[in-house]
Amino acid sequence: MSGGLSFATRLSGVLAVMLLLGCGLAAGLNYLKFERMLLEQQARVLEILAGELGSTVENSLALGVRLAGVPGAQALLERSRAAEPLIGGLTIADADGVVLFDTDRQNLGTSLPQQRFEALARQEAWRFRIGADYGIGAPIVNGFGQPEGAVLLRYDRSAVDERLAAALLAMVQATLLALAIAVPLGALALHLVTRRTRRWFAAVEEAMQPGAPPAPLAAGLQAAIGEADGVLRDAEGRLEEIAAEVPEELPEGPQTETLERAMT
Amino acid sequence: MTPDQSPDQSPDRSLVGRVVAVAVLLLTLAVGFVSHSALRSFEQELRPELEREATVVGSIGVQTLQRALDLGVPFHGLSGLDDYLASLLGAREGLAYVVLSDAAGRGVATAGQVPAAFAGIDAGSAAPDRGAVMRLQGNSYDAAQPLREAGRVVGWLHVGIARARVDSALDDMRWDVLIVLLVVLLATAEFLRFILARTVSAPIGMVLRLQGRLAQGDWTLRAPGGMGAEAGRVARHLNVLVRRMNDRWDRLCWLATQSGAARRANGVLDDVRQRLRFGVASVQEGLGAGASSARLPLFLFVFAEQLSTSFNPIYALELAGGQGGVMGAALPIVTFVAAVALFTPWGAGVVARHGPRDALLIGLVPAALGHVGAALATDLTTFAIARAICGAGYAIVTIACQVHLAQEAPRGRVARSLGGFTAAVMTGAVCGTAIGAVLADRVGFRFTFAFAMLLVAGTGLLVWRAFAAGGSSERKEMGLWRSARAAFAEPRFALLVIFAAIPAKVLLGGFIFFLAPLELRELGLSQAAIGRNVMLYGLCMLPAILVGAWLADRSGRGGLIIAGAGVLNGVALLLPLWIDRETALPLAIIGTGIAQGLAAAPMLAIIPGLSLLRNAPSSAAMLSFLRLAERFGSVVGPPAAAALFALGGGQHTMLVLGALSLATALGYGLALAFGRIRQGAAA
Repeated sequence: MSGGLSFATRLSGVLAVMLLLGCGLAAGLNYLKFERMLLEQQARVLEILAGELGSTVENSLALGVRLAGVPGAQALLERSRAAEPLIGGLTIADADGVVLFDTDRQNLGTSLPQQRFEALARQEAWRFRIGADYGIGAPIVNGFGQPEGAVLLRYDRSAVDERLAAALLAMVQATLLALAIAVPLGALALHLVTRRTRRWFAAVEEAMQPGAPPAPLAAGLQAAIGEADGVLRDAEGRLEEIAAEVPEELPEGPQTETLERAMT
Repeated sequence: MTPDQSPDQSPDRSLVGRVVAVAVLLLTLAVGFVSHSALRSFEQELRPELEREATVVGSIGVQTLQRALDLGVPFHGLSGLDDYLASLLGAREGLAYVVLSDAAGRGVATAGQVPAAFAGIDAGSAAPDRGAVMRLQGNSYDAAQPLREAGRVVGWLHVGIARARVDSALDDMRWDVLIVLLVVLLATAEFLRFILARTVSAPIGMVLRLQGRLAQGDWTLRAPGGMGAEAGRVARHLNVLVRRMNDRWDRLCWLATQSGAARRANGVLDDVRQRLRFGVASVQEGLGAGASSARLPLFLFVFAEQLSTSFNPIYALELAGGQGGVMGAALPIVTFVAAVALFTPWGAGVVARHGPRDALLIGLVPAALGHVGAALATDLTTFAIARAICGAGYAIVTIACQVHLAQEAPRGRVARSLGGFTAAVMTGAVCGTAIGAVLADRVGFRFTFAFAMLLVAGTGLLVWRAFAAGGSSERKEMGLWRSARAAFAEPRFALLVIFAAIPAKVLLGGFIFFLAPLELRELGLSQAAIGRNVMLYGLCMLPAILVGAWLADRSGRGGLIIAGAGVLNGVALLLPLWIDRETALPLAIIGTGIAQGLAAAPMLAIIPGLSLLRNAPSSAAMLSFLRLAERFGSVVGPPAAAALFALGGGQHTMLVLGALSLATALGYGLALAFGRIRQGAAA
């Protein structure tokens, strides 16, 4: 199939593929970096919120209240969730993972998997992931520096996905526009820069046709053909002249054998 | 080339340059445009997230201050504000400043670096019911939230987030885009060169060769089939032309038999035979695209291999779970280099027995398996074994390509042809290392190894389709030890190895890979800046390879070029003697790149000539010993430089390495000169 394509077309094809690859790589790699940065930025913001909730609960603990009895904790979680649309749910659990307060009241009293609390001992905020949901944990530490429990903030990435989709759309549009201009322009430019070589190929091809007019680009080839043609034409003329004359006696011997050899 | 077809009139003259120029221009514009759009939309979409962060921090501060106001503390009676704002600022990374201003926009308390261009919110400005007023203040995103006393705005709390975080991310992305662009440009140049060689340059060369034979009266030739594009049509027409002429000759013979005057007719045929030859040759004229056909597979293979260069030690540490230490990080590199060294002589035997094409296909199998193994590795040992398998493949593939290029090199262009080997390796290395780091950053180590395996598989397909079979050595192989003895018995080979090949790799490993990054870090450069400085080596080496190859072919003085390059390298490393380190280090890297580039092709080009000497081993064997010696230099270089560094510091190490380069280069030059004088005397 590709055997019939001219070399300029093949070059245009390679250029188009490389343009697609270059633009695709630039857009794709930027997108992946962008996705990571956006997710990181979203998590940073939510980490601040989780940390602030943790601090509020710690203030109550400092007054001598037990974690399970912090006044207004349930309302605080529900208010925080309503104020920030990114938050999917909020939980306050004790160090054993028992849910004490939750924006989803059905979860109250249930136990959370221990792996969500693995980072609690480090007394720093941590991140976790459950299926499509992302989460942030903020430790609640009492006045003696002992971890009492944690605030767990759940969120999904739908807000990030919206921004990512907008960025992706912009990149795809730019890529398509770049390709729509660069590919035909490239084909045209390659067609122009290969003109001389294509002419040479065409001239050589033409020069090999019987009765071809003189072609300066294939002068060497035409000279070689012309010389051979002249020699053969001369020989043909001479042989036809000989054939038209009276046959001579052919002695048996090497000359007859030479003729037979020539025939084979 | 016929007399009427001088090189200046050649139809493909500068075609590669023009085609590559078009590709470079369009790719740069297109990738630049796409990247610009991507970065713009990136900034556009990230800005609200940064502003949200400033708003959230601001709302925490406002809640506290508003509580005090609600309890009846007057705005101008608030105390401890500087401390409070400082604590608010210190609790979060990335904040530029926190400012409390009054209703007229005058600053009451501040913490952090407030930009000179900062202006408070004007008196009477409407306060938002919820959220913050967002503005750009200098280089910061400013979120201002109102404080109210009896429903009236009495002040504003401003939280500024420095744009530096976004700028730094944008800078990172710009560098990544530049790397992508560089890689795509170099890869495109390789692909275009490959296609042009197969569809234009080689067919034109073939047509001109055939034309020369036709001009000499040889009408027995046949153009090769299987070519596409214009070249294929020209080949078909040429074969038809030859067939037509042969038919005319057959007719003449027939006419002669019909003639009654056999003696005279025979005389006519003899006249024709004296000037023209007819018949069908048993062997087709070759296309002669061999040398260039090896560049693209080699480029792709090295590209695949070098994808993991930037993260091999990190991946090793990860697999070791922090237990392996520095030795664990180095283990996969050591096993790879050791396998390359051990398998290079064996690879030469494979090439000699099976020919470059089959050897390449054989070598690609362990390389691909090694990448799969590395992608699936679960511990350090498995990873190290996988890298060793990759090393075995690398040894066979590189030696096969070198032999192929040496076999296919046109007379008088050996250095340029073999320079193509070093250029393809360097281009592949620059591209692979650069894009490998970016890929690993985005998709992870294992996927990058999987991608490397796919590239190796693609290379195999290309070799299978594009490489001509054959090329195995007809000479009887001597065996490894006899070959080694015979090779090193030739003084010119021994001198080349001891005074040029090994010192060059000692400098490469010791200075470029070990010392330069350490010294640059000592100067306070960032990791990215260190990487860019070290990359100068490869970027300077690439054009120097072409210049060195051209000079060697043109002058025939490869030895002199090698010695000169060694002197240049020595002088470059001695630069700290005369200029300050900040300038001397990049200049030394550039000097090393140029010097090693200049010497690369002449060093390889000496081998085919030496292998033709009596009792010398095959070209493949000699090349393998040269490669082995280079590996030895690469292994010795870093620890030697480390020992020197421990003894006397970085500058001392540079000076010693420079002196070593100068001494070995001068030694090599003198030995060559003596050899020449002795040869002259003997003659």
